[in-house]
Amino acid sequence: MPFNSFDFWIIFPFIFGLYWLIPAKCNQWRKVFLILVSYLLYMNWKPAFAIVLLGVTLITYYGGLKLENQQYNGKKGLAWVFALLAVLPLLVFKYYNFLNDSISQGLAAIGLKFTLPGLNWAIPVGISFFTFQAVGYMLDVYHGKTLAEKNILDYVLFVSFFPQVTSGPISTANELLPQIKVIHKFDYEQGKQGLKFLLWGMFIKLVIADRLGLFVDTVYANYIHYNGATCFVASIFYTFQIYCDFAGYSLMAIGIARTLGFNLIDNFRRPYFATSITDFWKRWHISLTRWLTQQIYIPLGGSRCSKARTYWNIFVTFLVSGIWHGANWTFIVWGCMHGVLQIIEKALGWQKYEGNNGFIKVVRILVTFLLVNFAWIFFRMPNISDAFGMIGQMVTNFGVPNLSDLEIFSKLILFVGILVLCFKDLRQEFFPTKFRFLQYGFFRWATYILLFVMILTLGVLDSGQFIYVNF
Amino acid sequence: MRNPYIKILAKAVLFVFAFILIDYLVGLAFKQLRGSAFKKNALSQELSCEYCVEKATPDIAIIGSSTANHHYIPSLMEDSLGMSVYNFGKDGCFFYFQNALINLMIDRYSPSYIIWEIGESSLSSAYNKHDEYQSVDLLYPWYSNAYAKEYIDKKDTFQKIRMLSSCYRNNSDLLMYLRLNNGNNNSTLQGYVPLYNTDDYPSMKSSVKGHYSIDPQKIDILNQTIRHCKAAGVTLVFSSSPRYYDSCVKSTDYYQALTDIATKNSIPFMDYYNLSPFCNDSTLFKDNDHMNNDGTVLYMSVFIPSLRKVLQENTK
Repeated sequence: MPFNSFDFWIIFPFIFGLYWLIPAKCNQWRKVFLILVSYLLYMNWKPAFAIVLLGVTLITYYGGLKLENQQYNGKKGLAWVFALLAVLPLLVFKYYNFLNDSISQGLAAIGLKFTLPGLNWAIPVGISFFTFQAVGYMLDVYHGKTLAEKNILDYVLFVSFFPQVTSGPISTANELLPQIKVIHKFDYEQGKQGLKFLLWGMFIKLVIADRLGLFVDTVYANYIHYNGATCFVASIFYTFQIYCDFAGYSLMAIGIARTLGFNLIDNFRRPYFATSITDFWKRWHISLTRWLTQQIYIPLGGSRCSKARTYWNIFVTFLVSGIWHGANWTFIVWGCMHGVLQIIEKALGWQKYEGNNGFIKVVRILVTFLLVNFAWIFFRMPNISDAFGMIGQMVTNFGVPNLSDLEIFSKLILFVGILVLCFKDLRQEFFPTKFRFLQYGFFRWATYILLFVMILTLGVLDSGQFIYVNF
Repeated sequence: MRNPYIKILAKAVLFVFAFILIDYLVGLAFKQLRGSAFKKNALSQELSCEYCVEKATPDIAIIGSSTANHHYIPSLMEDSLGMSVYNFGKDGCFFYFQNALINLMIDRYSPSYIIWEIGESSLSSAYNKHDEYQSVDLLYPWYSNAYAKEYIDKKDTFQKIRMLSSCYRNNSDLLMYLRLNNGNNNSTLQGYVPLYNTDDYPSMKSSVKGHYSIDPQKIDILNQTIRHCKAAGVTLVFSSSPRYYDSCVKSTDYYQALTDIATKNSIPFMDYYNLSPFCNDSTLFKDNDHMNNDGTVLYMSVFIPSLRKVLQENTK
């Protein structure tokens, strides 16, 4: 059940109320309640998906226990076995058809004919997220970073916790398990902060992301009928759309968790103010970057090896990132692009900018933004040839942007929405102590009411999914 | 207020009350905007439902989805028949919507005739709930009417709760009302919206329509509307305009069932679904389901004389 659906907002007050009605001393019942709610909400997508979720949970639970008790001999092999078992549903549901088609096409290109039957199964929602979270826990046990969880209820809740199971953030065991064990007392400030995150997340998702999506979808589906300038504008809009969509979801997830007394990792930190691609990945989907760094990059050797090996490690990490995002060559190209750009930055010493020259900083932010924007074209397009087709339009047929498919008042709403977003992010990034009057009672309440009214009057309601639910 | 539960509950209640007040005021503002937009642009494409339900008094009303909207030219019909005609066809608005619109209209005004473009799977289960409700918001302004309410409330379980909010009811309308108040509208030709050219559809020649079965729920609703029309003195005429599909295929079971309903209720059924030369000439079509202006003008040369005969027989 997506967070932007009305059904969820009818149910959530009951979840919130019932959870806090359970006395603090009955913390075990609170956990049982959260597990029930998590599984029921997950099964609302499709009941059979819960089997996959439970299967991955149990495999990694027992894997953790076994690995903790395992002597050094055979520990690595055992870790591989459990990791592969846990990742197997992800590989089958998400990548089987892609691998099958790619291999068939590759063999056909050299005159060989061989195909396996395709699978016509829906991909369990959030499988990439909860698999990574569960496998991450197990690998942390293997590396000795955390103790194996003995309490199965705690562990089941860790993997299935409903605010994050479908689209993250991906939590570590050391982050979330202690919060599950502790008795929570309702904190007014925490609850208030959670509701604020919820409201802002809904606004940027429904009013900005989904409105942008109406234009983006039109242009991307028919890019050959639009000139390069229009395609370029659509690509910029998509850059904002995916940020508002994913950050909106993450904020809502963090907000919901906070109202229940849990603190999840902040998944976005104003990514389009990054001064390099390396910096971008410290601000975008922070929990995934952390997972890839801890479970792929560092085990490969990280930067504690030769330059060539470090570059290879970066490339492999972002290749995995691309593959994780989807079963399509476009995601692989997108991931590899980010990997190559970071390698170039590392080779030239451009990963960070710590100077005070405002002009250089602005230029770096703009260049990084344009590079990220360019890579998003591959991320969004259904195939490589369409991605290159759209880029070709931009290069060979630029012209003047044609926004006639976007009526003037939609442009106004989007302009205002993006302005509000940029103001908020600019303020948080560069002027955190300015505009404090906005925190005062009247302005705060006016902002809350205005955002809520704008969501209901201008938001694309019942629009369906968040983009990252597809992963 | 020390108890955090009481504090957050109190703030939540305060927020709800503040929102209810603002929502009421927003509703009043939208009512003004809508009224002003309607005064300036009653005949615009965007406000065709408003015009149909609140103001129009044609002798002949054309109701249907996009096929009605693009296939019937009121001016040609008026010249030939000497009766006022208006085309209330609306893209993406299918059987349940059309049914509600007809009932809303005849609650206020009874045209002499309603031509209901009802062919081609309207009464089948081919359209899912998403299709049938994609334009439901167009009827929100008349939620207090029983016919509109019955249709709107069936959208989903919580629709009645959502409809309590004026902000929700006017979702996405602000832009349209502001544009219409600014004098910027999509004009029509008495409701008719011509299409031009022919899309480059490689599949046009090879498309074959599927087999549809009648949805019994829709038949019940249709029968109620037929009774309502008869009681209001409105003569219903069913029509099915041409489509372009290879071999001029149509679902014979479906059309037989539709013919039976029409015969049973003494409703003329003007079935031109697979009329030659239309079903073999792609140059008359914008796409498989919609004729372009050339096709529509040609269709009117066949439809209008037949309609005249129907009207003459009806007045006997």
